[in-house]
Amino acid sequence: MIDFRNVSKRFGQVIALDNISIDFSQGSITGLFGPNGAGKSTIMKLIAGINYPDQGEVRVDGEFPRAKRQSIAYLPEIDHLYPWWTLKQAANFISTFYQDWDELRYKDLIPFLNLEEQMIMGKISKGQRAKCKLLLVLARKAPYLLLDEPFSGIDLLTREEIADALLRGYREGEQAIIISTHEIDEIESLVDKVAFIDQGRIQLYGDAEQLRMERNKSLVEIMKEVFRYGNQQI
Amino acid sequence: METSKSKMFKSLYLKDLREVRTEIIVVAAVAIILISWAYLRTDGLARGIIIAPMAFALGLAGFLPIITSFRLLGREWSNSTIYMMMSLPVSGSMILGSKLAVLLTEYLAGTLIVLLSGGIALLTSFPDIWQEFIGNPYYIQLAAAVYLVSITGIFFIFCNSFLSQVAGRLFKKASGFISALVFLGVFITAGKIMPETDVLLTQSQLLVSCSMQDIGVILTKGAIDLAFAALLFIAAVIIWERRIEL
Repeated sequence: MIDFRNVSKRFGQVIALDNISIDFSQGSITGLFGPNGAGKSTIMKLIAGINYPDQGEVRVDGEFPRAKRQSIAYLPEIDHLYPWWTLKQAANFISTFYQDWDELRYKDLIPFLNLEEQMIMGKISKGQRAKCKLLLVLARKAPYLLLDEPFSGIDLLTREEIADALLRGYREGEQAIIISTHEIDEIESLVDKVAFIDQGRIQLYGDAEQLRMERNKSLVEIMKEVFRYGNQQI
Repeated sequence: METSKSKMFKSLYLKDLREVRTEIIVVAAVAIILISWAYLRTDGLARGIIIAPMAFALGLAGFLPIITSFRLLGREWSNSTIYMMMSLPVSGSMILGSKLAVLLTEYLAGTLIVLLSGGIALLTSFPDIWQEFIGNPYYIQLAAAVYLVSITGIFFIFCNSFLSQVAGRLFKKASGFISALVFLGVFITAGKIMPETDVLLTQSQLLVSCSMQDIGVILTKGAIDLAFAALLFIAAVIIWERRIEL
């Protein structure tokens, strides 16, 4: 389980997270929804162990995130693959570091995502690069999967492919997937839990189906209300 | 999938080694072309001029890895591949250590190519002097000691480069300026701490006494450089592991 307890984080004068407490348990897909600058990526980075909280604590299975990097598959929003890498070189490199690398799944996902092993990262489209990044994350059987804005700048068809690949790779009950995005449409049907974040605070958190039933609205509509009026008024 | 520390280190090393291939080829090409040119265009004693292109190529072989030490680490940030590096389940010592190994490879490959090509040219031009050199164990040991100290010296510069860069990355603004300050600051501080050995080294470099004591002084200087370098490396690793954020 990933546990945030009273976590605050500032970058200079900007408050990225303001006293957040939340947990992410295995066996669920959680959507972190919110506008740009809400604090979603900071949550991801804290779990990945590449940021540290100023106050409060973050634990992954009771340990500091940096000690659990073997259990975390992190897909940052930014292009983090070497531009001269072919997909095969990237896979060879990453597979050296993770015991949970699944070569069969990797081979299986390549045609599914319409990719080729000889593709060079610096010479393919943004959509293809996004799929390569996703492939390299999904080819691992990591207990925790963090996807930071996986649909950012990606066309509609590619978004559907990514969402399908996500479902195909998901191991129910064994894995916790956290997806941060401000584009809810593509994953509304995938998520079990949702957290609406704005200005570093969790405005609303709960079971996705329950929220839809209670409010008789889609997650997109709920998000609009949350960010327009604040949680207290809806 | 089986993983091991040695496989991880090898992967990191090979990835970065790709970045220095061009520099090694450039040094080799410059050394071979210039030395061959000097060799073919001169005759007799005038062939002593071969020392000049050798010195130039050696300077290049020593200077390029210093530039690379800044590029190798700085590029991780400019290409955003730092996200990949920092999320890998390895220690900072392995990441920085693999980069250090690549830089040493570049230095060793470059200098050895120059020394080998220059040595062959000098050997065929001045076989008598060469024989005298080879026949005197003092000269051989002195040359080996000087080369060893050049390695510890460059090792110190690489570690200083890493420390100054990670220290600079602690600041969002003016990180390049802070890196430069730390880099120079470490040099000045180290120079103040070990001036006595430098004086001794200068004396020994003059080869006035031609005694084995000179080699001892040179090696002592190398050991001091190495100890300082190790401290700088440890400091860089601590900052990398505990303070660097993205």
